[in-house]
Amino acid sequence: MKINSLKWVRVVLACLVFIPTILFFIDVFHLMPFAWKAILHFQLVPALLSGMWGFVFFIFVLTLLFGRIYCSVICPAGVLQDIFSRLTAGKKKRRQRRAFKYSKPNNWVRYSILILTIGSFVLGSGAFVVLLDPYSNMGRVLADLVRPALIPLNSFVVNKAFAMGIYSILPVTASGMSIVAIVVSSLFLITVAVMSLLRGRLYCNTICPVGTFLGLISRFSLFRVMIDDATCTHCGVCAKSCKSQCIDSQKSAIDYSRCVTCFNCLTSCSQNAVSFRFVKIGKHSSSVEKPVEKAVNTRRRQFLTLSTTAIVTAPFVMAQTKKTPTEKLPIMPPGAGKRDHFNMTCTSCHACVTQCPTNVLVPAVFDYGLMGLMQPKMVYDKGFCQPNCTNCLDVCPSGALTSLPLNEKQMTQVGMAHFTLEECVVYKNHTDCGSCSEHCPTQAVKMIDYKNGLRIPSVTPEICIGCGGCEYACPARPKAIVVHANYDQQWAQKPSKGKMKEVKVESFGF
Amino acid sequence: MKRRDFLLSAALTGVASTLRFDKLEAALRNNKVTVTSTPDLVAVMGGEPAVMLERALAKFGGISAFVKKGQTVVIKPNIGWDKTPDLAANTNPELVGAMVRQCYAAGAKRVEVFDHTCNQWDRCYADSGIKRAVESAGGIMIPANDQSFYRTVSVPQGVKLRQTAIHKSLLDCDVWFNMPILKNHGGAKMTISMKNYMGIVWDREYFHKTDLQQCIADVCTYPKRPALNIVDAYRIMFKNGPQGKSLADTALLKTLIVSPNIIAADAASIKFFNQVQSMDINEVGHIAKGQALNLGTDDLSKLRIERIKL
Repeated sequence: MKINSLKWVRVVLACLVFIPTILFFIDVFHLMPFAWKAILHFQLVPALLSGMWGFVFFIFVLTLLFGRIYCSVICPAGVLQDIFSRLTAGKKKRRQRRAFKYSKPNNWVRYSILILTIGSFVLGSGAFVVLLDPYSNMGRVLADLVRPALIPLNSFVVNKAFAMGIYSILPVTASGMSIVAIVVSSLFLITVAVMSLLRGRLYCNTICPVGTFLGLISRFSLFRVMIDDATCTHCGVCAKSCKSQCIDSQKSAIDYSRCVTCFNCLTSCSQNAVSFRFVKIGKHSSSVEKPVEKAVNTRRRQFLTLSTTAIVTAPFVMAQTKKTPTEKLPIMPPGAGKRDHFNMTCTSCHACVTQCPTNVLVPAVFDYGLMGLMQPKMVYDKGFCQPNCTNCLDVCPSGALTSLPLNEKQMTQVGMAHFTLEECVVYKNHTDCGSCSEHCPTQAVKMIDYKNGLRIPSVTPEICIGCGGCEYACPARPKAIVVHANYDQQWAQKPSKGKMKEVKVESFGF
Repeated sequence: MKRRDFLLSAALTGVASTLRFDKLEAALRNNKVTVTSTPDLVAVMGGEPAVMLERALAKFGGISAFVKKGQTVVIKPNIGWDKTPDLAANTNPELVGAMVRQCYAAGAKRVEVFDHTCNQWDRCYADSGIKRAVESAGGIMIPANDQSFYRTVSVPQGVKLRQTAIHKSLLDCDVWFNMPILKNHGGAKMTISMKNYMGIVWDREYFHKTDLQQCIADVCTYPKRPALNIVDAYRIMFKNGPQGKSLADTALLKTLIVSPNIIAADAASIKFFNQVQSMDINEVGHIAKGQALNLGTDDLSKLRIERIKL
């Protein structure tokens, strides 16, 4: 029996990237060190958005050399599809019976989607990137479907451990659910599952803009799977093993724009006609599929797609320019900076949502408008932003949240507290409270003398950072103190530290 | 039975049921105090936390007067904030660690420490230095950030707080120590021993929206009282409390105030505090309300007080 060593290298590498990436999102037992967040930077779309050109160049060169290794090894959605087909294929004998067959590329669909995604982004809408980026979709499946399902398991284990007197496992509470995120990620999961079960990598070669984009490069890759014309008997065995359905055995041709270099075909051939090797530039013609469309046709299609792009995206762009009043604006996580930048750059992968220790970050619905679908916003129902925490900024792979040193994060004003006297417990009940001021890290909310020895909150907006401690802690309903978002994030003024007082106490005073 | 007799006995039962035996208990306790000649309150100044604790406990007959062999002990410090020890937002970690060691020295089976924190709990536990101090002394840090750790109990003597959920560790232990830090507080005016009770309950929002000062006094009437209130005044926070902004809000006073009588401990602490920053004890509403509920007395002249300067 032949050992397909290249395939196994591919599988091992894929596991090395896939497992930590997945774990990062669903790790309710804190098994993985936080520093492993670096694994998220291996994803192409976030790297493009955050301007990590070094990595982008690396992927470009990798694809130019060996084809779409990215789709087989790095992309978690790609690996997930492989797992789906593998799990359902069952034992080896059955897998051999389960055969793929060559199919024509859906060029019209895949290039339209690619052009639509890039075109709309250039025109100012990241909505298609959010909806179609495979990494972000995968992130949402994990963060919005898998992780919530694991939280009861965490509670169960924690309770058992506590009953035995073990307190080393930390309890994790569920973060806010977003129906839209659940629906969108379920749709993605179902689509990917069905497509991969029936047609292998059909999703990657039809819908995924990253796959289509890399396919444009992999056409010209230097190392590639080659079928030796001389020995090939056109038996079609290799095509049966091809999950990309890109081997046309009749013509001994492979569509390299769709090949994800999984190497499954290498050992299928009884004639040893299939091999992965270096091909000199210029010798491609035999294997590259000839373009079927006529030139005129292509140009018309290009025109059509571009104009469709413009028409479809125009509403997004226009919607974006409308400014909503600040009370209704969602609060962006610290480090987001300018709202337009954040809405354009965030791909809603929800890595930050999973890492927020107090569940302040929840996926928005239409709060940011259509273009900011499912992007994270700060909600102070279950907790407030911890002054010494920078998890969300540290973890963001797309550059939507800029990593800031702790002292700068502590000065980032995401919004400002607004106090309504008429709702305040002290005003209504004439009893002490001060819950808001107690939770205020900068004393922007301070208790000042009111009457009958009572004190009432007073807000100094310039030093407020909008962390939501006051809003979270306010016992009144409706809340007497709430944070209104800043349109763009600002720097708060430094609270005055006060002078050190020389204190000498010699006696007890009683 | 005649109707008149029935009504009379019913009325008598009613009257009898309103009787409170707290004062009697307190009197008995005072009797015992005079017999064994232990003080009502001990104040120590001028030493390191562990030394001051040792000296104070010695006046009460040592830790073995409170902790018996094989007992489970809970220590409840203030660990409310994600702040370093020098900012005096949380109880001094050395003091907590020293108390854990004392308890084990007296033969305690296990010593547990928790607080229902305001900031993210695991950060508070770690950054306050208390987790390390407790664990290196062999104690156990118990989380308190989830409702599942709490059990609802009734507060029979409560005026506005008739029932509340209290941490199971405290409910199930044999003996517990209340170990607050002396701080100014924007809402409750001061946070000392009585206010420290808010870290044993789950629903603090009820306190704030109902009547903060009354609820603080009410929760302190819960029958399972601390063996001692150990007020950490090694470094106090005299303004911008309870969280504080900077070192300028703190003062290094190297003092410890210990009393089984919660009102006395807090009243003495406020008098001590007044030497740094003025605070009218009448504004700290829960002290008077606690006295009304027979929790103790703030009349320090009636108490036997030991003052130790190192």
